[in-house]
Amino acid sequence: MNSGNTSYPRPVCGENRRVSPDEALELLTRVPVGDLMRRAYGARAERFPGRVVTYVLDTNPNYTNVCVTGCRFCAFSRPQGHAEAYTLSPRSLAERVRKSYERGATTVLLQGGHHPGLRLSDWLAYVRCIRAACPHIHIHPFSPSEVVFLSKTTGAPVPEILGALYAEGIRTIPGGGAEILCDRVRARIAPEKATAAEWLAVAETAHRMGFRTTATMMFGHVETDEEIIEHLVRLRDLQDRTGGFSSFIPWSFKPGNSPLGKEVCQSAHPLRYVRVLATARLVLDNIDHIQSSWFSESITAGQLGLLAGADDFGGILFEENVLQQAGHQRATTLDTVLTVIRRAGFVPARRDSLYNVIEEHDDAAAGADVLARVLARRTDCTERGR
Amino acid sequence: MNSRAQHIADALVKGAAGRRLNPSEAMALVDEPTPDLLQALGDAAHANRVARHGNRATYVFNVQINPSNVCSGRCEFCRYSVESLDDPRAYSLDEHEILEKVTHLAPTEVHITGGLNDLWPYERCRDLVRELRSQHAALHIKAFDAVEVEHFATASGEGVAGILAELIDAGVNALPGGGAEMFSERLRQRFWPGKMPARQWLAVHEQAHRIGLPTNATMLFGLGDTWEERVDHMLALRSSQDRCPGYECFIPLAYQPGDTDPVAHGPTPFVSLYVLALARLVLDNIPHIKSYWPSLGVPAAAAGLGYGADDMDGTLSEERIMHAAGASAPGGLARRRMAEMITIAGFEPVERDGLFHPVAASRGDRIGTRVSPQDDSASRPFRVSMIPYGNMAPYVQLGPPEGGSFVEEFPRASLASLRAGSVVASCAPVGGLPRLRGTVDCLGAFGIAARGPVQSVLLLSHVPFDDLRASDSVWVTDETASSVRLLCLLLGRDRGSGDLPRRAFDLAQASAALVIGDNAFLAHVRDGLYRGVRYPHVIDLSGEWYQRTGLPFVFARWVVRRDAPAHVRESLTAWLEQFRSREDELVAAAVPGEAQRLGLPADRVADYHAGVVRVLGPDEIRGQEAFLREWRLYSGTLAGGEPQWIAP
Repeated sequence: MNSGNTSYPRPVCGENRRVSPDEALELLTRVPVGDLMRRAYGARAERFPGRVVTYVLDTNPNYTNVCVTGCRFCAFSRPQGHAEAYTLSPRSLAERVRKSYERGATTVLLQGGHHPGLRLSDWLAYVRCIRAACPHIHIHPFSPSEVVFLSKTTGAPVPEILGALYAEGIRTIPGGGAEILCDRVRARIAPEKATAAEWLAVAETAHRMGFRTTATMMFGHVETDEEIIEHLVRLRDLQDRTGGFSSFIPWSFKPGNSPLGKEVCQSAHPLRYVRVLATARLVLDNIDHIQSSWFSESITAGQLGLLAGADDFGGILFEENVLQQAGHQRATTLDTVLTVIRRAGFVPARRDSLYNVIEEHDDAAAGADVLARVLARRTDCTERGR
Repeated sequence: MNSRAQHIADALVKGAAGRRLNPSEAMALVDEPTPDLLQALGDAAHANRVARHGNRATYVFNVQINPSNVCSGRCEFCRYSVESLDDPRAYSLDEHEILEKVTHLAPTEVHITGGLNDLWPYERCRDLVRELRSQHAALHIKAFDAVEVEHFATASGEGVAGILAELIDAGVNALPGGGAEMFSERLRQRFWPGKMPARQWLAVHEQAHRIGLPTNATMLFGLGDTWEERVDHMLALRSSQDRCPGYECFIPLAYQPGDTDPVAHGPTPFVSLYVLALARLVLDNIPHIKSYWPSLGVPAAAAGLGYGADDMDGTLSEERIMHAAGASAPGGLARRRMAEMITIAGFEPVERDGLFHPVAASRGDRIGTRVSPQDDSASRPFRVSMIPYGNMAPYVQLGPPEGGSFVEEFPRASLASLRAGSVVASCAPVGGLPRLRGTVDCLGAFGIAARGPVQSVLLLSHVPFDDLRASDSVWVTDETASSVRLLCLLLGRDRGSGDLPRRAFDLAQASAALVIGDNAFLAHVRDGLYRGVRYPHVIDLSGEWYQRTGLPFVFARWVVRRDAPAHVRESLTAWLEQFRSREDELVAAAVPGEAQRLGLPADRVADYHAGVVRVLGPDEIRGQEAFLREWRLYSGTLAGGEPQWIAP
């Protein structure tokens, strides 16, 4: 099988010189798409030769949909007291997680709305209850924007909050709430949310404490091309200092049922997604992983992303509330993802939340086989008394 | 580097330079397709493409005409054809429809192809071409693929050469590339046993080339064909071009699996881009490679411009064949959107004619650069006024028309904007239309109407409707222009003008309140509760009108300013047609969001929407005319011509 260490003539990328903001803008907007994709693919191949595309088996419960931040692009949140508002008790949350765990989830991405009544103790209760129900699941909780909100609401300093999580064994934090890291945009789409500087400060503090976090970006609304580049450069600069970002995940804003959706009526062209992703790979020369998402975009766009610099395909979700509410529906199964990756020309491989590859799948492996092995490993572990 | 890799590397160098690859080199490129190799191929194909075509990507404004889907061919994968007119999906257009459409849209090119049947026998097809030619001297007519030509030849008893000569005479400029499928004998036996063999397809094309007809060539891939079969297909075309040149463009088509699992069987960018790059490298003697977006999907087709393709297929109107097989690419892309997509892909969009020449710059209208008050820069969207009520939510689901953007305005405000020209189109209150006569035209028959109660135009009253008198007063929301006139009419027709209630400007003092839109609907749901006051009488004005006249009431009509540029009208017309064909789906999609926004159960909201008529029929038009007539008569009896209530 082709190891991928090909010696075919390959387009040169970067030439060991860092991409400047001007060049980045050129990449994002003007370079012909094939050249852009090939350069980004080349950068990916230098870092990760071969045909492997990773994914993780995860579950995404939301502990509450009560939120007072009022981001204009969100159709998920509800005011306190609303008929559809909910806040899960630690036990209910842990129960949901346990169910997903029993179906094969190896990690739980835990996020929620900014609930003014929740305290750090509630967060810790969630973590502890999940631990008690599923000692071996990887907990990947909260986000810089949730941390900023909790800090402002309760007065607890950010390091204290992060320190408490660290003490509970948390080692990774999702990169939610980044949107576009430019305050002009934030003022228009989420004026009450953490500022760009606040978001970055939480990420920095977390990295210095030893957490690995992801970085995200939501584009395709009111941002300019320059602001996308600024977002990427700010992430790169922070990564230079701390090295704590494990991956970068962009997605396009879906108009649907939100106030911003009524203002921005058409979603970004799928080709734009491919360009953003490829540009990100070339600009973020210090972040290992770039994630392409068939779930948030389309299967075709997701597959094109793999040819444009992405090496990861994200999570196989057992539950996901936020995107569904904004009018965006997807059925998700492991078999679908394996097929999509294979037909894109790649070899699927299961990973953990630290992006370690657990196993590469050969052509014959179906979703059921993969899950069976996941569950069998656990039984082994339990029997060995781990 | 091992020898196999060296062999491939050498082949790619040759291909990038436009030199011919021998069959062994071509096969080496598909020996083990991987993403790495795709990128290398793409790089070489792109270099080849740039040397031929620079950074330009062409598209043509064409209209596809499929005269009938009745077909005797019965090819295995085809979901487009039906056996006879008895099938509910069957259709057969007539000349009138076809000619009217071509005249209306005025494309650069028409592409005529369809099924093999007796409804459109050879003579009728030929005469259609004649008629098109006589009405459109410059139209590029690309008509009838090799399968159809062969069928005509057999049915008429003339030879292929004779048919082709007659078609040229009638006005055909080129033959489309369909009917080739996959040349492989193995697949032809499996899927198309009755179809003409590959050598016959090639012979028809070579015959066409001999008498001066340029042609296209296609390849259908993705239905179990191997990479070797794909290369063989291309090599066969290359040889045919060597023997008898005339192929202008090669068009790979991805198999559409229809109902079967598209994830497992549908087109995938990896294969589509690989095929495009391979084609550019192998077909050194065919000038153009087309990315056919109805088949490959828009993102892969656009990316394809960087993997060897230099042409995006035209702005199709009503492409039916791929869509019958379940292709999910959008049915029609306006030219503007095509140019935008090409620009996003990083290429220079060039509109072309049927012979792949750039369209003359003098045809300014065609390229959409005409300046007008509404659109003085090609990139600024034209403004469409949108009423921010729930009943317009399905339009919001659809999104704005191509090149346009929404501006939220209450109904009355949109009249002022239309008059001033700050918006170019609006779903305007019918009551305000008489004042706009001469400034706007109706855009088809679309708007907001109801037959009977509408639940969102209400008179909330402390006093029964029939008892409202001069001593009473009515508060009227600022938002309305139609409903207030309707209310006047309903109140005034049966009473003397001295007996009309006054207009109140303080809601708290009023005996009744005229409320419209979401506020009205909520008041209706809450049994007359509005701004903290419960009104015992809730009078649905549309219901009242219906009781008195037996006719629907049209509240608003989609109209466009008469001086709007052609491309704006085109875009709006296409948009409303899209709405018409998807109305149920858009309403259903809007309901959950509306239910959440209003804080109501979904079925209540669905029920409301079910009562709103947006696509107007003859009854609605009669209702509208009756209202305007009545209003004219009534307001003519008033001093000053307008009741005191109507603000200017």
